[in-house]
Order: sequence, then structure tokens, then C-alpha cells
Amino acid sequence: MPDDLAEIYRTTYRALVRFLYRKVWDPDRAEDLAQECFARALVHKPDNARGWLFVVAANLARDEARKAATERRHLTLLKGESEAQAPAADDVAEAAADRDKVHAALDRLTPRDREALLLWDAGMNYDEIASQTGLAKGAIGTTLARARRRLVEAYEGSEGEHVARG
Amino acid sequence: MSHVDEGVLHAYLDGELTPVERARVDEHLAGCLACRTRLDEERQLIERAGMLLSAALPPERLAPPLSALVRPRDRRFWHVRLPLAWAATVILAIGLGWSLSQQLSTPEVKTLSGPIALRERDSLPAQQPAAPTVGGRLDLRRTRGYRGHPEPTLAQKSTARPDTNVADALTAVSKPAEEQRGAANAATRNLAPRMQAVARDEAPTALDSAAVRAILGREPILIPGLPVLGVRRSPRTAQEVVVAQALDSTHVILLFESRQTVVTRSLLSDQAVPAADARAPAAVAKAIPDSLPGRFVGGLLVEIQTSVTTDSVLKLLRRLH
Repeated sequence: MPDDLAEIYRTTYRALVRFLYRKVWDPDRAEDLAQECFARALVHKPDNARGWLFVVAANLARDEARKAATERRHLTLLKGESEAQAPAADDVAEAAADRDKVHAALDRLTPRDREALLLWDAGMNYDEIASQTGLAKGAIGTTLARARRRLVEAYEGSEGEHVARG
Repeated sequence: MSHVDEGVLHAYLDGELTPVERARVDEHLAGCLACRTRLDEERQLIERAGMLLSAALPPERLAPPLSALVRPRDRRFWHVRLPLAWAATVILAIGLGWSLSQQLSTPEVKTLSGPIALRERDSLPAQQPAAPTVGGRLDLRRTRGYRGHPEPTLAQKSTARPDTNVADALTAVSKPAEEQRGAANAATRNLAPRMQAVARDEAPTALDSAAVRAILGREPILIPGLPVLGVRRSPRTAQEVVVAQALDSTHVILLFESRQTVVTRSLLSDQAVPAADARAPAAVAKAIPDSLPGRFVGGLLVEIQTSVTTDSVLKLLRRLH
């Protein structure tokens, strides 16, 4: 097993899970996919493993999104049941509500803005984001500025809606 | 220099400008109050966005060792720690193309897939139906997507006792689903009526927990988090029980368990295994064709024989931890 991949695994695994989680919104699935990325890296031994891992992760997450809705429903069903058995404490429920709002806000970004933002948050620098998204490096700052602004606006807009409804 | 644009301010704050670019921005900021004000605004925006993203973090969990991610084809068996309660030998057979619906329409297909039947014959002489070493077998059946029936194997054709496990075991699944699990999930509800259709008169006896403990000398092994559809006496032998659990609406797992000695050592370890434990696992190991990926997980042999997707298998294996 290559040492550098072991090191990348140590430093990047959580970031990759985080990146995937914000795409699939299922912690188990995010970990499965992250482990799948590293399992493939062990086989393919890519040169730029870190960038490669995020490319594979993005592809896996995209495939995931295309999967049959039925399978997703089943998983949700199982998950929903186990969650229903343990009544959530208030702060847990609040955290979940917050997460859902962030999820909804992220969904309102354009795919490119969202990708840039999630890659930045996963610890990638502008060069890496540029090569991953196909954007010019000089455009990354503008893309991130727009993504951050829209995220905050979408989140706060949804808070406004809650207040108005509540 | 004209005012600094938004993208450059973000790159500046993100520490992504070259030294030359940075110096140029610093120079401009020193003499431009408007841009300094905007810089503060953008800094707050970045912090706010980062805070929002941190509200959407997955739970922190320990990452498995990288070596555990090596593909099955690169490493036939690998070891994952299991709670001691799981230290039983269980063969997970994901029946190749098992289709409940197909089976319902053609009830003559009753036997397990060939390799399993062969292995059972190899490892369990007929005179010792309750041999202590292979005490558990886990069947995962797929209820759709089937395209044809497997040809019965030599072992199945020649077996003196027609193997009615499947129909009986399915019966074992169905009634408890109705009787004991009123709150069973929709997956269970989908499955149970179809399974009931194959109920037979010789349905194995449902067991209460005291009876199960009497047979096994312990609590039955369950896959955590899966709804238990029922526990019945095995149709094969009185010393065995069948636990049925629903993986989802398309898969039922049947866990055949008997009182047994615990197999605590891996097939790959060169350590001597106590004689009482050694024979059947070794026979199982020999019987597994090279093409079949298998894991020895603690004392639990997990064997995959199917076209079921890697994702499904990984999800199942995760539950076994």
C-alpha cells in the first residue's frame, strides 16, 4: 500500500466524507462512498490521488443521485424507522432542522457554484478547484463569492419564510 | 488602481493571491475606505457561509484502517473485528438470482443454490445433521430480478431427503410477520402476504424466547437494526432454529442457527484450530471456489454468491459490525 495514499487517507478521509455527505445527505452512504473512493485508489494508484479522489467522489455522488428512487425510498424507510424508535431530544431536532435548511439552501445554488463551495470547504485550494470544475483559477474567487452570498441569502430567506408562516 | 472586485477580495481573504497580487491589493486598501469596508463585509459573509456549512456536518466516526478497504479480489479473506456475540460460523449466501415471485409461480424450485448444497454435504455428514461446527447459515434472498431457474445440482438431485428448506423457511417468515410484528414496516408488509402464499401444512413451529434459549443455550444471533420477522424451529433438525429478518422489501435474511462451539480463529491463520472446530470450517474453505469472494469476519464466514450490487453488500456488511 503506497505510503502517500495512507497519508492522504489520514488527512483527507473526513473531508471526503464531508464533501459526499453534502451531496447524498446520508452519513452512512457518505462513508460508504468515501471508502469506495479509497478502495479504487488502492487499485488505480493515481498520481494526483487527492484530486483524483474528489473527482471519483463527485462522480459516485452523481451516479447515486441517478439511482432508482425505489431503492432510496427503502433506505429512507429503514432509516426513518430506526430514528422513530428513539425520540429526538430538542437540540437534536433543532440541529436536524438547521441541517435541512442548509441542505435546502445549498440546493438553490447552481451546480457549479455549489461544487466550488463544497470543494473549498473540503480543504481544496483554488488550483485544485479550478482543475476539478474546469473553471479558470482567476474565476474561483468570483464563483466562491457568489456561492457564499447565495447560500447565506437562501438560508436567511428560508428563515424569513418560517417566521412568516409560524 | 480601480476598486478591488468581489472575487479578488474573496481570493485575498482565502489566502489564494500570489504575493504580488496581494501586495497590490494591500496597497489599494490602504488608501480606499470603501474597499476596506467591503473587505469587512466579505469577511463576514465568508464566516457566515462557513458557519452554515458547519451546521451540515456528518457525525464524526472513526475511519476504518485503509487496509480494510482492499478489494476482495485482491485479498480473499480479511478480518474485521466483531463483537464476541457474533463469533459463530455463518455462511451468507446471497442466492444467485433468487426470486420469490418466480418461486411462487414455480414451487418446485425449493432447494438452495448448488454450491451451498454441495458444501453442506461436504461439511455435514448426513449422520450428523446437527454437527456443532457449522452452526449458522445466513441466506439472503432476492425477491425479484430473477431471469431463470438454476439447474438442480448433483447434490440436490441425489440428496436422499428432498430439501424443503425454502418453502418451510419462507413459511417460518410469514406468520410471525403477521402475528408478532403488528408494527412491521412497509417492507415487511409488502413481503409477508406473498410469502404466506407458500405456507405449507408442515409449517415449522414458532418458538418463544425461552424455547430458543433452550435450543441454542443463548440468545439467537440477530443482525442489528433489521426487523425480526420471526423465529421458528428449523425444518431440518430440532436442534436448529431459523431467524428471519427483513433487509428491505426485496430481501429476507434467514439465519440458521444451532448450539455450537465458537469458532474464533480465522481460516487464514496458521494456528491450529481445536479439533472439534476444525473440520467443517476447513471443508467450507475448500469448497469455496476461487471465484467467490468470501470474508472471514471474526468467526463469521460471510460468503457472497451473487450479482447483488457492491453497495447492497457493503450496506449489509456494515450492519454485521
